[in-house]
Amino acid sequence: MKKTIAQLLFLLIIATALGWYYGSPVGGALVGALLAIAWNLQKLYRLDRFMTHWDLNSLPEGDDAWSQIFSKAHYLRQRNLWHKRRYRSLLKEIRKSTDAMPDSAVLLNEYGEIQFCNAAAEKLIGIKSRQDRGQRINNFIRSPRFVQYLKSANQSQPIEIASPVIDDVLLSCQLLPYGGGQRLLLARDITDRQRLTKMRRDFVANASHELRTPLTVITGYLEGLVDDPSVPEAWGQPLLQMQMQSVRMNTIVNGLLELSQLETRGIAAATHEIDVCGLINSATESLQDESRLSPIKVDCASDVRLLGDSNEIDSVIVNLLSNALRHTPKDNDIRISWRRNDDGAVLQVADSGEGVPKQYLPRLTERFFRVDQGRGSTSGGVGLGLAIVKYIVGRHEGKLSIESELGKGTSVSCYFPAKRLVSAAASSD
Amino acid sequence: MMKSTDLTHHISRRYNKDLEDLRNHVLEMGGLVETQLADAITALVTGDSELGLRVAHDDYKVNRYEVNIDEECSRILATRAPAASDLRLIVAIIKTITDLERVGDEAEKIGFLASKLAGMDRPSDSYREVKNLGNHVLRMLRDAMDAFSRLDVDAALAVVPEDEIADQEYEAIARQCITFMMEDPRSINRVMNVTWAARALERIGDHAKNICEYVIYMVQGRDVRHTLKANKSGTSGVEAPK
Repeated sequence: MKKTIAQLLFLLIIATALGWYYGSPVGGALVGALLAIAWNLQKLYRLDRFMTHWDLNSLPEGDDAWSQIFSKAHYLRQRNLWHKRRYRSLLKEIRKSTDAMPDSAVLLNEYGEIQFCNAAAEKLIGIKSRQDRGQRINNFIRSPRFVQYLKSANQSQPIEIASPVIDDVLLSCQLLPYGGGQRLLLARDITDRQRLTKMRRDFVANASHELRTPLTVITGYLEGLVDDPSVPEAWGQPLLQMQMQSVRMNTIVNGLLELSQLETRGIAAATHEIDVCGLINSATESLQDESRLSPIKVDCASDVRLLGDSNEIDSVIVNLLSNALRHTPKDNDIRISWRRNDDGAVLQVADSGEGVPKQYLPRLTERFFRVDQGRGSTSGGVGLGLAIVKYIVGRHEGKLSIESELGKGTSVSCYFPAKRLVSAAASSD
Repeated sequence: MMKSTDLTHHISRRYNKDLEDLRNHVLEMGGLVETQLADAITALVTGDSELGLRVAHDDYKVNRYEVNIDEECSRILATRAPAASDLRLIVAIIKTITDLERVGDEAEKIGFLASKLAGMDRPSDSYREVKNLGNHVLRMLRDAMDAFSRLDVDAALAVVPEDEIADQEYEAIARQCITFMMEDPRSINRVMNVTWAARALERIGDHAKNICEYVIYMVQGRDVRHTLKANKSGTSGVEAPK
């Protein structure tokens, strides 16, 4: 830079000196200045051309200010190109890795419009990544369940829908929010998982069905033998034991059958009105007959009717009550109640038995789960009751909740939503 | 040529959103009809009377969509006075939802027939032909709705010759049914129901074809109704209108 200024000054002095020699120093200086401007303009013009064509041959040599600007421009461009290449290859890598994912991923903006999708999305959902960018996702996944899910506020649970492009393929879809209102749609092929579940269900159903016939024969003969006076005295005790165990086995098989039937059904039809209080009263009476058990206190605070399957609700009440009776010492109270709350109704069974340790609470509804493995055989439970209750309550769109305190008792509540209820007054019209 | 992005070219953002919403609602209705049809076919093939009755009952949802979309269309026509491609879009939508509603009615009919057939004897092939025809027209309907959402003329044209195949399949089923009825007059009641179900499926194929023609009209502004069928040489034979 200094050198260029020195050159300029030198030129001006020479030009002024020449002008002074010819009698007009001002004219000389003017000519010198014009020359300097012309020279700079020419450089400016070349810079402009250089930045358009980036022809390295036109890069001027030397170390004056203009050459430095030229080489700086060239350097900046090279650096930009390098960054661009790096980002492009990085993006390519990211694309490749998302394409390698077996699950389809679609990025949606706040209006549900497709921003980006991977190769699996093309295969499972049928989105064409270039053509369909900017379209709303529910233009392609048109299943009413998905459309509803997309609009609903609660998207924490994935939903299962049929693939819109491949026949007989089931997808599990979930929307995950991120950034400002954007969402990531993940869809996974769960056909195999579904098939396995179905196989397991069919197996349990078939196995328990097949077991029932021989069991009936065994129970029948045992009943006869127990009452037969010609059987030697020594056989009495073993026969009684055998009979008890075969009855127990029958209960297990029936429970498994009931469970597998419940599993195959969807949501219970809301066509029949159930008089829950009536069911509670009749169940209490039939169980109370066995007088050695604890007294059951019935509290029917509401006569609201539940919409659903009467047999199943009866099964819930009987299962809960017999659980409570089994775990409550004689003469301790058991309370069963049916009452309305703010957003529906609740069926509650509370005992005053020994209670369940906290760490076992989440596992109570598993099949064959028992808190005390050694105790089951004496008290007569088989460990399927709560599993059945959970399925039935789920089929009636309700929620099951269990609370327990060691030494004080357990209370099981089934919450049913308001849409499943009708008031008794309305139904009698 | 009209592109999907053309819907977003208006100065009024509100107008853009109205048109996009309208299109979106048509596709939602299409999705509902697709589900109804798929359920009806499943009910028929598996003999699930509960599912069949549910399909028949749920038809009111399709009708509600039709009424709402119709209203939306008239509102846009009245307040925005659309021209050119926007006008074609509205006209095509009004026609499309009529066809979709008819498909819904046919699905309702199939659902009802399925619930009736569930109580009768089942043939040894468990309605395999009807299932094939059903899946075929279901795919046609799905492709038609995809073509509608992408405004894809080529995809729409590809659906048109499929209707021919659906017609042939229907013919085959009808002939088979007649044979059954002649062999065993006691089965007439049941077989007649099957024939009606097949007939309903065949009609759905026609409606899917109509929707594709509206897509072509919407994108290219050409009315291709009753002109595409003349060329019977198959998929490749149908030439794209220019």
